[in-house]
Amino acid sequence: MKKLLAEWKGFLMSGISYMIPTVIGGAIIVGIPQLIGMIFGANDLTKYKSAQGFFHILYQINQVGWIGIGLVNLVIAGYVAYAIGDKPALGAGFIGGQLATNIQAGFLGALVAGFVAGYVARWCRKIKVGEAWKSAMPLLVVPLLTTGAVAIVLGVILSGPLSWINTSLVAWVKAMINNHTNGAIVAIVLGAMIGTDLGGPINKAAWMVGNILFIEGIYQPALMTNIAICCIPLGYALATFIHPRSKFSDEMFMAGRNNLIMGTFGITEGAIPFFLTSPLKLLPVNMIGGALGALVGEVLGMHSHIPPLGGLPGIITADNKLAYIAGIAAGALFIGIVSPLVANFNVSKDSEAETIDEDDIQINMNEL
Amino acid sequence: MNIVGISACPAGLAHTPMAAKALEQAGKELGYHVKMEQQGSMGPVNAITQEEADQADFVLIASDQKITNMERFKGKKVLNVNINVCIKAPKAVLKKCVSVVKGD
Repeated sequence: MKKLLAEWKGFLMSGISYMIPTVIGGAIIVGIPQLIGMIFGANDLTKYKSAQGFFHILYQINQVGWIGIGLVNLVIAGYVAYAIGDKPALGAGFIGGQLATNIQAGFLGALVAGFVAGYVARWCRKIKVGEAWKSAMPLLVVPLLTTGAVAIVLGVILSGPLSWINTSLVAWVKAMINNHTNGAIVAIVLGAMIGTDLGGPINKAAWMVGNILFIEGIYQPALMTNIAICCIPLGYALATFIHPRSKFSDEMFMAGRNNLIMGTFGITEGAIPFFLTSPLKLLPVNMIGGALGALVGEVLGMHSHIPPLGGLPGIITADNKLAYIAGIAAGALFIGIVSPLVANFNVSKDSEAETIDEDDIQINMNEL
Repeated sequence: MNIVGISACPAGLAHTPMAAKALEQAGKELGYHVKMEQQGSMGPVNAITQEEADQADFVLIASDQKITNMERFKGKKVLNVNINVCIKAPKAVLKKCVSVVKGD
């Protein structure tokens, strides 16, 4: 059971790894024309849909970005399927993902589609047929069975229930973030999740909550996670500026300065070298820092009407820029001040003891 | 010992090269020849050729994710280890993998 769950987590993470560039590409291409439009006094590009000239070109580019956002379910379903069932599963996964968008079954629907397509394709490989039929398998039988299964399971049987669940969830999230107290709670939870494993599954789950909601036009949770993602590496960069040089080994000092870039582009993983020096002490620091940043941004009223970009470029897409910056500053200051007080960063890498015992390492061996 | 491996993580930005470098460095210290391919966000980096795959004693996958081009390793023993464990304790991972492979 535990092994199966770990396997499923791997499939999901594979899907997410293909989804990340799609979402980011979409968000950037939505954001840049919007920003240029704003600079020249056009706040709403949709007004220029059938106009001529500069703003219309911006509108055209902007619309291309929205296509990327709209592909999120398709990409995740396709590549979850691919992770499970390889190439034969990809097509049915894509179809199922788009189906999930069309019937408003959202992310949940996309996952169901991916798993159905993937496992059916995997099972198809076990069908034994005669030589004459071999070529018919990939060209006819497997596409029929995989896509057929998606059509029956997601298109018919689960269509109603899943779209109901997704619509209710989206309504619930909307209600949560429109209410100030609940919005603050969401900010704390998502911010802390980002700080937990710095790029691992919990972090990606929180990121996912933010980004999968783009397709529903909800951007607030993404703002929360983006602040937390940005402020944690920036916090460690800041630490190298506010604390004496002697508190850091050469390696850690370099890693800290490196985190200026990591933070700017929103890569929480930059904080990992610091985290590894004393995980137990820094886990709460990172969680509090992330939560604090997201909370301050939320309380000060950050919001966005287009898909937010991550990292400091997120300042561009945020409507209330000061709130966004204040959130990042609050989280980064907290980590920058506190982290060197609780942990020792003046350790050279060689003396770092390997904290995991050989017996605790789990290895799965297979022969190909 | 001649070890080839592949690392991959969801974002493909930080964990992937960190694990690859940690394992290669640990290999040097332990006297094993370790070559890690990184399947990160920019596609394969430091790719393992068919020749290298054929010469390897075993294949170490530092990931829970989908790995592409596994056909290279047909007939080889493939060991899966969590990527975070590889970053935290690369030497212990290599030692344990070697003992598991020899133990059979």
